Amino acid sequence: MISILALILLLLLVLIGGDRGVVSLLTIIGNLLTFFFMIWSMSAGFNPYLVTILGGLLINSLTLTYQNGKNLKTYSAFLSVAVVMTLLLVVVFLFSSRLHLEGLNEIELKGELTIFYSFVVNVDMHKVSICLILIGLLGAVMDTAVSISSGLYEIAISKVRTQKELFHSGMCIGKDILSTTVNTLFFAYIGEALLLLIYLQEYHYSLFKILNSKAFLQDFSCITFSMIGCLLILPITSYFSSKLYISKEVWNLSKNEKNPSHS
Amino acid sequence: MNYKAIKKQCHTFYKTYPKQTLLTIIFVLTIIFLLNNDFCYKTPIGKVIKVKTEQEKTLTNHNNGTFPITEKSYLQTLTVKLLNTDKKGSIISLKNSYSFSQMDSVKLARGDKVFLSLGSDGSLVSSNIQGIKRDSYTFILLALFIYLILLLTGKRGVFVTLTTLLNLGIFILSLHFYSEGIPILLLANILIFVFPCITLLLSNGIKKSTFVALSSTFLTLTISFLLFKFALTYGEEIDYAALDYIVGGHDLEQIFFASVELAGLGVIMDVSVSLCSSLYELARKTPDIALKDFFLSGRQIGYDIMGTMINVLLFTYVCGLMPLIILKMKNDISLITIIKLQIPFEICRFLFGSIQILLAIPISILLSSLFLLKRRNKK
Repeated sequence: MISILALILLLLLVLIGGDRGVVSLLTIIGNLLTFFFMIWSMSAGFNPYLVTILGGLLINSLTLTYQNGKNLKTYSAFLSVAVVMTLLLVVVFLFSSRLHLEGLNEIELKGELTIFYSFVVNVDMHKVSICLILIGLLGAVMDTAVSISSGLYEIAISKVRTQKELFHSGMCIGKDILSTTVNTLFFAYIGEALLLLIYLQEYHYSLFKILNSKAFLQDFSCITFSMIGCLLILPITSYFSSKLYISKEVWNLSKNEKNPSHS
Repeated sequence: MNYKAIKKQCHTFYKTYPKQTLLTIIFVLTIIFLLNNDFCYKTPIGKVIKVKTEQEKTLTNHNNGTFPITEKSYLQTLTVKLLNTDKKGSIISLKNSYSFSQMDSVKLARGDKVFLSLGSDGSLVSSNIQGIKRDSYTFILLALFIYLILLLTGKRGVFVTLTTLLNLGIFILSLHFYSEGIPILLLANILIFVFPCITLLLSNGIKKSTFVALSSTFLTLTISFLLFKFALTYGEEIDYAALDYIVGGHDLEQIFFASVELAGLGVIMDVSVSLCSSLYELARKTPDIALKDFFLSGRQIGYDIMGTMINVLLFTYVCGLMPLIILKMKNDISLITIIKLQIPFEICRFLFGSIQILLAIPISILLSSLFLLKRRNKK
């Protein structure tokens, strides 16, 4: 089943995406390799925070520069993603130290895992739980950042404006993207959580028990933080993009650059 | 600065940003309420006010081949103050043990709140920790999201929040129907029709491009399900017993299918809306555009969305796997084996979601060219 799905995906990527599809495929493979390498280094005993920061930077630059080329748009998106990740590292840390979402949840502990595996792993799962939230929101945040920075770029080259106007346009683009991003994350979440919610319902969890349950919150916090990340990135990308596009030296430089013709 | 100057400055700030100030005040009040909501509970709740931690012993994991892993385990002596019930204010002492990795235990810190169960005689002396109280922070997280969305996007944010809440309500309602005995697949099929209608009509308004996006969503859904059925029938068997949360032994395949159906909705809508709105704008601005240019523009936009959208799915699905993969790796299962055999469902969801993204691109372009350019051709 997986092999057939993979084959279909490969076929579609080449048929519909063409050259860009192959580039996307390579980026996905690169990101997956980075992700698994991150897991490997965490379990090998490296500090999870360090691994996440380095891995995040690698994924960020891989996705943005490889997929969209090296230009001002990519630079501003990269910068804003880095800023948002740093900001969220603090927020997630504060929440996680109280939410205690580390390790396995109560349902996983009840299952057959307990019989076969030893829980002595010598890896600080509290740090891992913070890192996995940060990695999870990376994709959505990058998506929003790229959309805003390239949208603003089109506006900036069509007509030079003041930084304030550009910032405002960036926020407008952001508002348009936001609803679809929130929906993407929402439906991905309920698809993923369907099994869990059916489980919780079958075992007659009360509402307050659900809201205090680790199993529910592990997924829920992940997706809510992704949404918060997508919100925070709106003003930050708008700010960086407007500042970068308007500063004269960079502006001239980018004008001389070969820009892909926009539709 | 004296008191009057500060007051004046506050006043001017309030005059310039009245809504934002109000919103912030409400947000702060909500947080204060949520942090002190212990009186809503009948279960005794205690707050950890002092922690004394000492090392207890060293644990060993013998599953890991020739190199056993060791880690330290600790015993905490907690001083806990009761926050509700009639014994409010009384202080008790509790014990909690945890190991370094915290895989199946929790390290408590000062300020954490815990649910307590009283001893069989109803006294506090023999009480136990039942679980950690997390709901305050759950709601604060949600409040933070709503606060930010309203602050940053204003009226648009209200719409997005309302749409999401409405969708959530419908989803919870349908879960209720499921428990009444209606098959999950039927419910999912109704939901995938209802959700796009509500979401697109509410967030985009009743416009021509919305209807094109809607029809493109449905067409993509249908075609992708046919492909999925094909893969399901002709591909190798999947062991549904490996699903994360198993309830009894019934309809696991159907539940998985339903979860896949729902998970892809968001991305399909995203791609369809982005393409249809942009193409609609294009058709409106340059009514005399040639069909070929129209297609090429659509393809360019599709290229730009494609890569990053697939990445959104990738990271959303894959990040939750980290604890389990680490646990398995430390129990002598190689990373390759885990990827090959132990995480088929996440891989399936990701692959299928990506297929849906890719399918949505040509379908949206085709339908847009059919419906948005038709009027011009007739002239």
